[in-house]
Amino acid sequence: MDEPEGFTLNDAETVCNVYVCAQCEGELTYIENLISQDGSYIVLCPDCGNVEQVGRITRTTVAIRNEHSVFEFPRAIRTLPEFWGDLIPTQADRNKMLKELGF
Amino acid sequence: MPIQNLTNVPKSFLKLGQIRKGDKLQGKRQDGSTYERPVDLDYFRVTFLKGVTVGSEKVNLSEIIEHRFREVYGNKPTAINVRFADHDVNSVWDANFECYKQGGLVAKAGSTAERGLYWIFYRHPETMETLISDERARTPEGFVLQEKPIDLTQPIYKNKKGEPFFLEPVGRLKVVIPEIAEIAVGYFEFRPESPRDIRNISAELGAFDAVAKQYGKTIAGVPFVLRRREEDVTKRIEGKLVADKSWVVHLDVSGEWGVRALNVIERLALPEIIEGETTEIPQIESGDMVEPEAHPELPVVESDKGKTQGSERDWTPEQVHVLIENRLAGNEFAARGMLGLSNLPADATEAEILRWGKAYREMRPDPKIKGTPTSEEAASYANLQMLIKA
Repeated sequence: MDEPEGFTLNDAETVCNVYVCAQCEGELTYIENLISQDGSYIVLCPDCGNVEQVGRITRTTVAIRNEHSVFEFPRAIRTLPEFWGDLIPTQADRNKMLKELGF
Repeated sequence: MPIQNLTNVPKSFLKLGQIRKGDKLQGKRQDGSTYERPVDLDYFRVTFLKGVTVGSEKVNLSEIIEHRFREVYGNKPTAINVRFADHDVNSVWDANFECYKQGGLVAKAGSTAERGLYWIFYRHPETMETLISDERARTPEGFVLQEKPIDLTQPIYKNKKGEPFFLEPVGRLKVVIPEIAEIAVGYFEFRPESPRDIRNISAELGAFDAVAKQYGKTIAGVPFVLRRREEDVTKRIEGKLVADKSWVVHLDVSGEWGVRALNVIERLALPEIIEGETTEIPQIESGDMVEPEAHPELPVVESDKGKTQGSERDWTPEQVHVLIENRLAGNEFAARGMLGLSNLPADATEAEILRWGKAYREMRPDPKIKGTPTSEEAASYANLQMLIKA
């Protein structure tokens, strides 16, 4: 079984800055490993647990995925109109948007 | 069903959560120290992403989504209704080889028939420097690494105890849960890590995609169910093969579509029965000559591309009235239109027309209902039914 190894203080700070929890994408925090008392730190998600078990994902990856999701939105709502058909913009919506943009 | 009560829907197809098979349970050693061990569950473990907000008031959708999910499926679901928000299988399903260190990705490799195994991402396990990302080398070391073939039997790194860690298969399936689609435009990611589950999903998704294409449809909109079933499997434990039970994941189709798809698959699997004549081959003695038989001329078939056979036939009033009398068509115009899309012969009996009409209406009960197949699709289905049942 894969046991958590812990991080140095420097690495723990870096992980908290660069990563978020892989399960809930919430913010991470670190605490001193009082059980092993070897000077290592545990990085954990307050809701999901030790990131060495639940996983971590970079903020950049999340940001890139969220950017792509904007482009996937028009396709998704048209592919599943029974759920999201009402969100498909009509010609009137487009005309209104153009007018608001000053065209 | 439209999304209601949301004044500002985020214009993004968001990831809303994850669906997992297993969990990590905490254990305690005799010396009091704790450890975590992975366990396979008999239900799906669903987690929800934080930070899914909407509008300037930052309404927390995550809690609403979780509450709705639990309301419908409970805390230990074994079957989840799913849909796919893309027509292409490759856009919703992907499987790669991945390796993690202390929870973070260090290596990811893909595999195709043409390229074989290739690096998608590689981070040096010690220095954490990114050598390869997006399949491109970022450093000279990365270029060198790309030249070498990938060996799955070689560990990517070893931990402090010397335990090796290898590339393992991981699948990712993007699914829309219909009951959640009422609240948010987004998907859940199902992540199987068992080779058996990855094989099942790949095979079943491919099979249903093939069946859907026979109807001119795609996997989008087909009502699937992601299900866990207890099955007898073979496992390798400490080098020995043993029979054991496991809660294997399958992708099924639900309801009427599923029943029809299975019928089509079964019928198409049967050998074709054709009508033919038997002729005796004359026994030729040595020295005899037999005149070749004159073969009848084969009829020239005109190309009917773009036309259906039904549209060129003159339907008798009796044939037209079969559909009207049985309330399968509203009037003569509609009935002739329907028959025009059929492949029924000109001398089709009333029973044949009735059977065709019922199959048509089964697929298209009411044109006013949103999402009802078109008349051409319904006619194609009815034509297929006539062929299968012939």
